[in-house]
Amino acid sequence: MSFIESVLFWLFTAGFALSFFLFCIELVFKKTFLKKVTDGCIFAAFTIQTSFLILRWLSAGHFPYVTSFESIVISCWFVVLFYIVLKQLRNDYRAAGIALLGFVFILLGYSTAFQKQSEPLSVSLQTLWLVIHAFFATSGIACLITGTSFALLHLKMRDIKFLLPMQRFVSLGFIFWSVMILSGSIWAHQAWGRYWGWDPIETWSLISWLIYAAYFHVPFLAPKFKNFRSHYLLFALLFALFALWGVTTFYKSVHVYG
Amino acid sequence: MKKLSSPKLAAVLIFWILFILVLSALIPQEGTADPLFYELWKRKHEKTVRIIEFLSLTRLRTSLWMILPVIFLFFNILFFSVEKTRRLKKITMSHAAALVLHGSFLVILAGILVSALFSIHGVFTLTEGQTLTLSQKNIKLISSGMFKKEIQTDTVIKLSQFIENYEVNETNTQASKVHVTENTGAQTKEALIYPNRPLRLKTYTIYAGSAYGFSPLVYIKNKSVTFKKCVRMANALSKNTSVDRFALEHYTVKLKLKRALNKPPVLTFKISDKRDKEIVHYSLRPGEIKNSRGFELGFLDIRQWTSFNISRDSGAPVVFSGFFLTLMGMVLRYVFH
Repeated sequence: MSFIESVLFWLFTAGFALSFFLFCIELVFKKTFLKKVTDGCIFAAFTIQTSFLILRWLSAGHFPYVTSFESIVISCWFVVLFYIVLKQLRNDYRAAGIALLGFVFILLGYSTAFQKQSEPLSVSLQTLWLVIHAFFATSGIACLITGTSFALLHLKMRDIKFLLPMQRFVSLGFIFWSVMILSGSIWAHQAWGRYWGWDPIETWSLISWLIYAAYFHVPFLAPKFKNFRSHYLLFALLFALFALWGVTTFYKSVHVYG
Repeated sequence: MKKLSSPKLAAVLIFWILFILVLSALIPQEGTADPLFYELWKRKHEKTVRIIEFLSLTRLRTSLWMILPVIFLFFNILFFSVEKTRRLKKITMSHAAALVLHGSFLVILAGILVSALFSIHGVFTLTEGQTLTLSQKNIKLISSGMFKKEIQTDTVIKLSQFIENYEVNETNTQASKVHVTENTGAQTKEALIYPNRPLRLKTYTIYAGSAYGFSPLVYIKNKSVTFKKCVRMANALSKNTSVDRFALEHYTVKLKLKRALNKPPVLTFKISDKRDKEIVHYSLRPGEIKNSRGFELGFLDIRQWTSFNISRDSGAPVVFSGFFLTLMGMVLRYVFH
């Protein structure tokens, strides 16, 4: 990672950390005047993050979605983008920012554990399928994180207005997650003649997919348990996060590119 | 019928499949785990592995633990869809989407069943200039369906050239130029195979493999031994170094091939005797033949070798049709629900 990229990375990470901190002060001490400062800070960090991604795209010669570090940064970018769009649409969803920024801050911290150097595209990766596969993986996990943030808010604030965005984001995340698995499967068939190879990341992605599939059947299973779905989402997200960025710590996988 | 089509049973089955999948991700699975790791693990925990193997826990994904709940789930979804359609007075778009979505899983499962019964996957390697008949004895099987145990074809394939830096759409890739004759006496056609662009034949499809390397034509001769062969060397240490080691009667031969940009490659011979005492240590460039300590050594030519995957899977189009229906069902459900 070049010096400028490094500076930009730490700048936007610090920006999101500061926004999270301001958000906490704003909510705990009810300081409404901080609203504009927090939002400005989030927007500035988001702009820096976008510049970082463009710069990395130009220097690597391909969109930065190959290494685990890059995919985490892009997922966080999607999460913040969703937050900005949501805030514009309905101001009472703004509270989700605290949970979203918390996730973003933790994920960006975790991303530093991976190799930050960009990797050239190997021959098998030079295909449109990678774009589809990686786009839906990163945007899918961002949707699931956003949905889970609303679940957290629902549990904390006991407000049912958060249930609708929770349900919509989780459904969208589930569709994106499915597209990720299906596109990967078609790509594997085109590259190696097999649409499923039981690679650890494939297996854990399928496990996460089934966990989310079960989530949509929860009303049939536990209709009497109040807040069961929100609790369930917290548990399900752990599996999705592990499938994308945790598996390679424990297993050898064909999905490791840095 | 009512019990078999209940969503509660579906949820129980999904959780059971989930449990088996998690277990299969935690217990090393025969066939998909790294073979060396699997062997070491087996040796280390001999008694435990014997129990695990008895319970089919090392082949969980193809065992009855997995197959039975999947079959039940198939019928659960089928009966549920039929029941639901029968009970509905008016089918809305949301209902139709849910039916398409659930029906798509039946299509996918049917495709997986076809693959499990009739698919076949193999791997073979070719050196530049080498011709091979794609018959069972020349192909190493990776997996095969219950009713498909052999690759049966009279297709003949010749690797004319392996190009390490082949440009496609402004990106570099590895490409294999091959000549293929599908039936005896048929016309030979030339084709290029590179990653993500397989060669589709009438019955089988050939894919570029991930392994490739150099194959120098080596000549070794002394009083008792004569050896002249293309040695397939694997890349090691770095992309520019290949190594190989083989026994030649009572000698051990170690070869190391080094490449540098714009320079001819260098092949180093190390020959040692039974007591592992090095007799010969000599380096040659292509076309050179030299004598060293009673051995005549030659580096006659250099070629490249590459691996290919061969497969036939009639279940794949069915599975992909199921994928299409899944996406259609999901998007419609999202929009109309």
